[in-house]
Amino acid sequence: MSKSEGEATEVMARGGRLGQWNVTLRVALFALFFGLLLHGLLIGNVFENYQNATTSWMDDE
Amino acid sequence: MKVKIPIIRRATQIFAFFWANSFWNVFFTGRLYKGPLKGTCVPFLNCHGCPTATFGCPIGTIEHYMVIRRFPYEIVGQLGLLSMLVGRMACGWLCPFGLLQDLLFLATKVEVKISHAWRHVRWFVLIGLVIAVPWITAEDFFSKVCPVGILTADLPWLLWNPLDPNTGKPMFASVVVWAIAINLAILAAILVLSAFIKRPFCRVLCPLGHIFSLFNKVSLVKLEVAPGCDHCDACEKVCPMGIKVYEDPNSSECIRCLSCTVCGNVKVGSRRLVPVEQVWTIRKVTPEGAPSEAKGAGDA
Repeated sequence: MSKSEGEATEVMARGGRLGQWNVTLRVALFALFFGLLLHGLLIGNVFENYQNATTSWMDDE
Repeated sequence: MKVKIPIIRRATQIFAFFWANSFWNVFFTGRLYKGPLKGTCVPFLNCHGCPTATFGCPIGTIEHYMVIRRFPYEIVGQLGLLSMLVGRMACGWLCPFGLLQDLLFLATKVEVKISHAWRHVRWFVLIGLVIAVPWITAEDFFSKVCPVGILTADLPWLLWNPLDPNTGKPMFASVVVWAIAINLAILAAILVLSAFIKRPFCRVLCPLGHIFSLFNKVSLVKLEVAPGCDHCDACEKVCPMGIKVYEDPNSSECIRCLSCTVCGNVKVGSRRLVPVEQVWTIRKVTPEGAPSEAKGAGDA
């Protein structure tokens, strides 16, 4: 293997490792957020958000 | 016929405003919508205290959960999934307050450039004002001074001041004057700055945009700059955030409005969640070190 071929191989391998890491990260993040969303919906805490939202903090009473 | 992106973008921004504010019944009853839709959020700042608001505000919801010291599972999952798909695109295509800043800037011919380093202030706003202060003090601090809340909730309520259905008296018989004065000063300052600086609130203060921006580098939608780019800065001129796209096509400041694609050197690209053949190629080639078979291995 020539020197240039060796360098090219190294660059490709580095790119490959980076690519694999990015793919793993992306899949993990998707799974994490999907899990959080599902968990939030299942435990039903979503419906308690600000049912009584008003601007009453500006009201003196 | 080819429809221009800015026209579509304006249409989606206007649609988003009416989508998030479609509870017109309030004008007959004087009561806010409190149905189940209020428990979900729109992916942009729109105060759920706005008279016509149909959905919750994501930042207001996060603050609410900090106040009650619980983790906001649903909203974090929702925002995270959206960010992973399109990055900060909601800022560019949906946010009505972004539209207002865009229009104010277009109304003047003077541009004052600010350093992109100001974006780091958003960390303080998100971690400090949206998460830490509400957690410690049990007060939703950012919501009290949010310019979007002031514009879409406080001002309409105060100007309208309907009769309270329960008491029959005006809803705001007595208000905290200094609170209103501070709020109006904040709103006025941001609107005035918007006339001279491109989207100052989005670039320096918006905590929701900051959450989205964290995912610009891994989202499935991405921008690509062709190698032939001659750095003419045409992208910076049309960019509502003032970014030189060729410096970092997936900058955390990019709101994916796609205005820069008027330049032929900027293209919209996409990442696949799992590029199967790429993983396969890497696995097959790397140990043996044959560069001719390792095509496409570097793209993430």
